[in-house]
Amino acid sequence: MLKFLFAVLSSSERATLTDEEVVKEYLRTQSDYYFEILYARYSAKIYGKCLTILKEDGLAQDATQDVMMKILLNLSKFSGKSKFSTWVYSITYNFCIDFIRKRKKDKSQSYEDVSQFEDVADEIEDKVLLEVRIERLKQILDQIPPDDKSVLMMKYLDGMSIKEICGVINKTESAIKMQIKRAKMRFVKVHDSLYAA
Amino acid sequence: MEQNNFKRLEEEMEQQYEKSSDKIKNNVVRRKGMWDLIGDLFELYIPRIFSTIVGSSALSNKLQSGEEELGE
Repeated sequence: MLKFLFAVLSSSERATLTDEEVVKEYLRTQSDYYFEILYARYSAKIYGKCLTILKEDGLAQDATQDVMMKILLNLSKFSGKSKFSTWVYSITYNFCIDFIRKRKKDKSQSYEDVSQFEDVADEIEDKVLLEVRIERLKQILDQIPPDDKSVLMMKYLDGMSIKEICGVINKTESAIKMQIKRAKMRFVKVHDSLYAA
Repeated sequence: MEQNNFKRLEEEMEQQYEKSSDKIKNNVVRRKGMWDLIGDLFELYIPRIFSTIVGSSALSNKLQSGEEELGE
């Protein structure tokens, strides 16, 4: 009976505690219980992002482990200025981008230069990107540079504001706006080159 | 409601996580255990090492001053 009560209480606590409260309790108690809560909430999301950016299951598995450890070891540095999820995703994106840069994998892959279209291109509506069919979306994301891919994911997947994205990749607001614009143009160009009949 | 296929793609990617979740969790738990152990060792031995160093330097100071007194 007591066990049952404890299980019910702990499951309701798991559901009601905010991320920030869980972090606070983990730092206070160092209890695995609180780490488990964070792990359950974020591990799949981290893996999903790593897989989208790194494209390989094995790399995504390793990256998920490394990112989880990085989060765990840096929890005391979480200041609470941003949402905890934004902080977690910023570690994830930065880890994946750094990983790709280190591997210099992109040397062999060239991306189309879209800078010459910047001034003449009309603003591309968000709807255009959001409604691309999933299998196509996957293929298009696989063909655009990781920096652009990450920025699009932050904006359309995580719903981050320009200010939040600035915090993640340490750039000015105007630079981020330009990068998003460029990424959207690249997205549309890849889409058209693959699927325009 | 606005359709967002980025979110649907992420859900698909997350479903793939199920296959390897145990492996990833085991590795994370093992690495966390190692860090905890290192932390515990530091917590246990660093104060002792520090007090030993302080103690031995105090002792050598005492010996030195004792030798000086005897010399005088």
